[in-house]
Amino acid sequence: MKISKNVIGALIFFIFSVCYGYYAQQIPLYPGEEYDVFTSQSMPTLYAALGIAVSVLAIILSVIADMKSTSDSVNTPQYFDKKGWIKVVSLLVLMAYYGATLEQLGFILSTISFLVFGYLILGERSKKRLFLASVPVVIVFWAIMTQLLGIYLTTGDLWG
Amino acid sequence: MLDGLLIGLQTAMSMQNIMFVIFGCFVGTFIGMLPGLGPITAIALMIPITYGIDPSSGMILMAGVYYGAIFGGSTSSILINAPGVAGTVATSFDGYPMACKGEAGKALAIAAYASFSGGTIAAVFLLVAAPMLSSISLSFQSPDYFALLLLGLTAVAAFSSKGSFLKSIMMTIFGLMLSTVGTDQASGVARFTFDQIDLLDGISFLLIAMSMFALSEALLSIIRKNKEQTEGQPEASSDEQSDESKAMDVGSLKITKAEIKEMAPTVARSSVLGFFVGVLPGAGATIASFLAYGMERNLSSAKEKLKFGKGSLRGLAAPETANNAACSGSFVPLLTLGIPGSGTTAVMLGALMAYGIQPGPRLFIDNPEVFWSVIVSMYIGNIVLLLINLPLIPYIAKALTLPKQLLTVLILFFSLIGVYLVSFNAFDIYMMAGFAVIAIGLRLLDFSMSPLILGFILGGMLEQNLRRSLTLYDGSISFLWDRPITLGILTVTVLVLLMPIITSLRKGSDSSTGSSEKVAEI
Repeated sequence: MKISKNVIGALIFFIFSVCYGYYAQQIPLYPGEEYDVFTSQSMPTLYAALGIAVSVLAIILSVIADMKSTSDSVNTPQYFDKKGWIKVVSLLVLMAYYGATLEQLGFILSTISFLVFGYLILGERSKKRLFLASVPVVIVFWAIMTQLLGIYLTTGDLWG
Repeated sequence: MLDGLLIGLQTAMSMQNIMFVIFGCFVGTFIGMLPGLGPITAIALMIPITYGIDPSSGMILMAGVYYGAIFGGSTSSILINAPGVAGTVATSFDGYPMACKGEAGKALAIAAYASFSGGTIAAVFLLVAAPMLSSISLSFQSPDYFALLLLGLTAVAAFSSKGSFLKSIMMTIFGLMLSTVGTDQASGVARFTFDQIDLLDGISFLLIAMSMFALSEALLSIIRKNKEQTEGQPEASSDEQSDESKAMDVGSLKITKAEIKEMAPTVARSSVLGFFVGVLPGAGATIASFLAYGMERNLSSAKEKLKFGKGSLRGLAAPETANNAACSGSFVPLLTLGIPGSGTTAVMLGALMAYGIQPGPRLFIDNPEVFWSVIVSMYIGNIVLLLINLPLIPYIAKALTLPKQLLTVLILFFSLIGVYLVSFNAFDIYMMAGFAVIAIGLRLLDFSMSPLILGFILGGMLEQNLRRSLTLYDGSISFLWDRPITLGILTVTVLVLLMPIITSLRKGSDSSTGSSEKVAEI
């Protein structure tokens, strides 16, 4: 039997709700607060219970629906580019790189490198485009923010 | 009301705010035109800019972006049959065939005039309805608000988009769970912070909005393949190619008097329908546009019916009028009750709260300039779209030919830096990457993001009002039925909650678990 996306989604949410419920019980309470009608734990506990109930209901209904379904394939076909996944993961890593370098290298350098690497990951190879869509964009953005709007943009810890 | 209107006019007509409306409409049109990027993304991208300006101007800018994005969505629907916004899907039914016949200019002009008319009529309704509802809601107490918030959350899930009712409820609960991260406002206890100082203030609404909408949409666009390409369909024939090139050629924007006469009743009907659908929590521009299209088709003669889907003027005018009217309508619950009726207005609510303004009945009294200037600026936004955006469409449409790889990276950059500029904390960038991964996973599993953002925004208010209600009633849950208003709202909530379940049981289908897809998108 194939597991449908609905069951997978509901199952993940069920696990998440259980973990959330567990941590909800770890929220510290002030002495005597446990006798209050409403504490810091109340709402998270309620949400966890609701999450568990709804996900269990969704799993049951999805399994019944899948069993009734005459189609061999439970999931509808997706139109995704497998090579695109590598690009997406690379861009996520690039975002983490941006977070790590922004305060070290400063706004201008880190942003230019972020944009150039981003364009390269997505397949842009024209040097002219790589330059025009990064350096002027960053300089203009920096000028608007710092000179026009008076917003401070980090110059980078590495340069003092 | 007249005094308020004058305050609104004074605020909205200042040179700075007029510039903001023009800028908002222009940017909104540009972003809305890009397939996959809708008004929520457009507004989310604008929020960091609005933090530097006063709340009235910020809301005026966002209202302009909202209208612009809807109009931009219509443009891509008509020119390339790729609706940028779900609310303009119905526009493509007759808009694109018109464009293929070489009447793209006329179709765009009809879309603009219909949007203008729908927006104008709805703005008048809003002008009357909002203050009235606002004064009624002044008598609301915490239990009523708690019930109203529950209604808002369930209604959004019930009318929710692709996917199912239960999935939307799960997303709403997920949003509510995320809203509990950080220091509890009442007791000062840290919840779900895992000893991270950066989480003590909770997760910023902007961070969630940007990651869940802008970042995940941009990243998903990389992996989404063209459907035809995947199915291995043959390349377009020369006739089809010439149709496509005809569609991109905008041509004349002129509409004849006879055509205007033909569309006038359609516009009037669709405006009223659109506004009232927009007012309902959860229903939005998409439902309004489909209902208007269906209504117009049903009202047509047998001969006229045949034209629908092949370039009917009424078929184009109806959804365009209704989606704009619904946009205005969706501001009614936001401005008067502080409860957003759609994902887009939920993002606006978050922005208002970030300014320190609490939307709701007091907004009308405490911040009349915000209340009235938003209403007035909606009308100005419609004029701007008609006078400035329409003639510029041939040039703005060039955006559709910009290299996608450049746009995607720029969207990533603006999203990241937008959030960073508010907190100046690099930790937020890591969190955004993390939430983008979660959002991609959820989208791949056909979960809708709008209920999540709504749950996240309303979570704090829900907890606060439940706490107050329990305190008022000495810990008893009798507050749920003690006041007729509370009981009435809760009854409606239960009905809304039961509606999809009954419908799915009747159909005997598995729609409640998400196998069938509704067309509607909030």
